[in-house]
Amino acid sequence: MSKTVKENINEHLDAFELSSEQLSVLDDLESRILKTAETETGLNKVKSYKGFAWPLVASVLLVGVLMVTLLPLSKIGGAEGKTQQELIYAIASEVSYNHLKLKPLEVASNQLSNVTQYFKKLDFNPLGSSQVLGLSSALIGGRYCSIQGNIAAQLRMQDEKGAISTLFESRFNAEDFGFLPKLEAQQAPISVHVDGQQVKIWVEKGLVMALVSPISG
Amino acid sequence: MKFLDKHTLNQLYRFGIALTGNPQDAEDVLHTAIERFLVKSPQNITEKSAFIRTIMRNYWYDEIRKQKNHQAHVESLQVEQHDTDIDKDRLEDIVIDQYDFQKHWQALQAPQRELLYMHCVLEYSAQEIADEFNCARGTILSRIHRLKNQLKQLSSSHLLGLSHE
Repeated sequence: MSKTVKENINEHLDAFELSSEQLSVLDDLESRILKTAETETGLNKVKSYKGFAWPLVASVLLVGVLMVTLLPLSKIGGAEGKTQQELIYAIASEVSYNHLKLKPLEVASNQLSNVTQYFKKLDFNPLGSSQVLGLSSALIGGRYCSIQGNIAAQLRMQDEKGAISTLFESRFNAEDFGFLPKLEAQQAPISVHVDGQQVKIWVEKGLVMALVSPISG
Repeated sequence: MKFLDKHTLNQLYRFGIALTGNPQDAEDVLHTAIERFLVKSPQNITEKSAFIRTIMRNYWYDEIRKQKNHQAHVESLQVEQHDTDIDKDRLEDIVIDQYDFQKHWQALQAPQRELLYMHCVLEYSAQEIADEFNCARGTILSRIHRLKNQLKQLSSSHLLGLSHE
């Protein structure tokens, strides 16, 4: 059917709309940034009134400590008041979604050094993990992404049977990720199933790591 | 979102698709632009959408430049700077087969899709586009002229039976 360019382009683009999931990701992004900005503004105010604000700061801290001690399901400060459980599922859902989307690789190489060199925008160096033994043999490339609004790298692997796994790495941010198990403290990774995938999450070598792989069997 | 309604977000998303050519990259570009906008929280911005479009554009062309493909795009757009009257035969009114358009849309360069979006969807004039791109009106007119010829060619090849049918 013939139409004008204007009709064609409008019709073509009108077919695209942000899904509720995509809108909710943008909502989360806005809340996180606004919250950070409010915290910074608050800190600046404290700095400017430091001459007489210490008793107030001490009281706030005391109340904070009491709340954390008394609440059985502690809320995570940097994650819009989500409980640990909610935050684990939010991280797992986010990495699982990115894993399943299979967005085009920004760097394709089977050499970890080549792939990690590509990530110049990160404020950390992506590393191998003791939990991902096949990384050096199965690596196929990587691309940038984010975990709960923190910039992250995703390293994609493919085993000899063609199964795809993705290792996500982000800088450890105690506010968002302080509750996650630390391998160095002999704590085992959290393991959950999301979207038919197995997701493991842990902290290792100062990085937050998440591995998404097909559920075996 | 508090600072942008759903309708505006969808408009920006569609602009992202026009810019990048695919929904996946459009999502990335939109996410990055909104993040940068919120972090900067610039004051006295009356046209938030235009400001975010500029961030999206700059980010996307930076990404392309990194992949070393952008130079070819830029060079190909350094066309003659003469003014062309677009009103006699308007770009948006060229009639084209829907299937051919969709096929051709993917093959257009990012700046061409962006130009079509601004001209046909936002209905910006050449001067308004030039203002947003921060370039001369003549440059925009030349690009429109070239694009018009390209689409006309496609349209006439369809009429001559050279299209998919």
